[in-house]
Amino acid sequence: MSALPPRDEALGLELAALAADLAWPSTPAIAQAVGRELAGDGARARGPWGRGWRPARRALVLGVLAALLVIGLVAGIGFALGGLRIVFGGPPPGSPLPPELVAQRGFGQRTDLDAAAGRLGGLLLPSDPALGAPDHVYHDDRTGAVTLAWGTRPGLPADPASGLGVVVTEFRAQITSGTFTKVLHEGALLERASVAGHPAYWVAGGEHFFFFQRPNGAPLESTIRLVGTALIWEADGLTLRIEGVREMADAIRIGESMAVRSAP
Amino acid sequence: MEGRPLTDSELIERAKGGDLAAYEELVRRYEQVAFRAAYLVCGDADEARDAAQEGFLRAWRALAGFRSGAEPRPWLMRIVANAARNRRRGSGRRAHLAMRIAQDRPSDGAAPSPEVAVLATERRERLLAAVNQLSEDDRTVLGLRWFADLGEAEIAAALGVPRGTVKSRLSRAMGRLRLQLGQEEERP
Repeated sequence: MSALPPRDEALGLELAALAADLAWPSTPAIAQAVGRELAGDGARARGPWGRGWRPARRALVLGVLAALLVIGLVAGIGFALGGLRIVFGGPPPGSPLPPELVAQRGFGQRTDLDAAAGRLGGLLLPSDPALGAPDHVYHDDRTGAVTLAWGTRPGLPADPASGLGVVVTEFRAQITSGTFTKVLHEGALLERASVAGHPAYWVAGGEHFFFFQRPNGAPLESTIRLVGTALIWEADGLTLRIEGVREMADAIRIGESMAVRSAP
Repeated sequence: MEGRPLTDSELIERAKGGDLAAYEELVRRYEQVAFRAAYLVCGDADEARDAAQEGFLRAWRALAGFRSGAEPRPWLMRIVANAARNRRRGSGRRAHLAMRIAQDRPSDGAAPSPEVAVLATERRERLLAAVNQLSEDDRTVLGLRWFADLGEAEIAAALGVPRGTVKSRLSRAMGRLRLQLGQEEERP
């Protein structure tokens, strides 16, 4: 848990102490009910790994596995069927990201590059051939941020859990350097860098929170929930952030390849 | 069975191997915090009980994917909190939840002087009154943090918002609570 200002810390402790005095509804015997439910379901015999399956279910699962095996073998060599070539891989570029991931990362609503450029009044787009066009484009009405996301690219693997590789976020705000370093969690490293002559920050390790300031001075909070790195800089009135690139030099190369895509 | 109580990690490992008794023991350790968190989210004790039960059942089915050596509490709380949030969303309503102080609250051991006891009681009541004056959102986020003792990541899962949003909501709610307390204290 992050440190609170002293006055909040004291008040928090008072609230925590108050918790013991509250008239909570008595806690039901949930463990017992869960145990009964699982035992009734035959879970005791099967366990979470599914041992002791009923024969019909086992046959069904084995059938599905066999079908997947055949499909996998076919996929390995490609499969021509009536002129249709079936190739297996990740979701095709442009497929929506899982809603849970979008909500968790606060990406906002799905959009396209023209609309995103229109909303930001111009967008910076990497022209690095290693990336190509983004697989996903999102716009968050709340923060005004545009997010461009790529899946796996050669030399730039995606996170197997989220399927996300490089993520570029752009919004109209200024980095408030006064609070910048204060919100880095212990263990996170902050390094000064430069992207095409613009001062930049390279952050690696742990989870960080960044605070930005809109052009009108209002604070805008942005959370980076990464287990990796982020390169942050300002250019053309935009604050840009690249996540998901392991090496600073690669992130800078992508940053320096960014070219303006004007609003339609 | 060893003489010492099993750790959470040991219980999880046994549960992953199909030991239902070990899983029940684990649920028993967290049922109170899970139920209270669900109660703060749902605003209703029956819904909270169902949400907690549903969450623990889901967690059992997902045990195979639990990373060995990780802390089970955040994982369990996230699943229970999700279940509570889904129930709240599904019901489309939220009971107005106003907490109150238990009449027969447990003694904290040392007997304070009557004056100290009266002052402490007054302060607690004023604090709770100020909490209850806050908006539903502020009460929920403060309740999850301080009354149910959830961490930021667990609250984020409970409310379905990014962790940074929890941080800012907590900070703003604390500010409004301080303001509310100031107003309470200014009243004659």
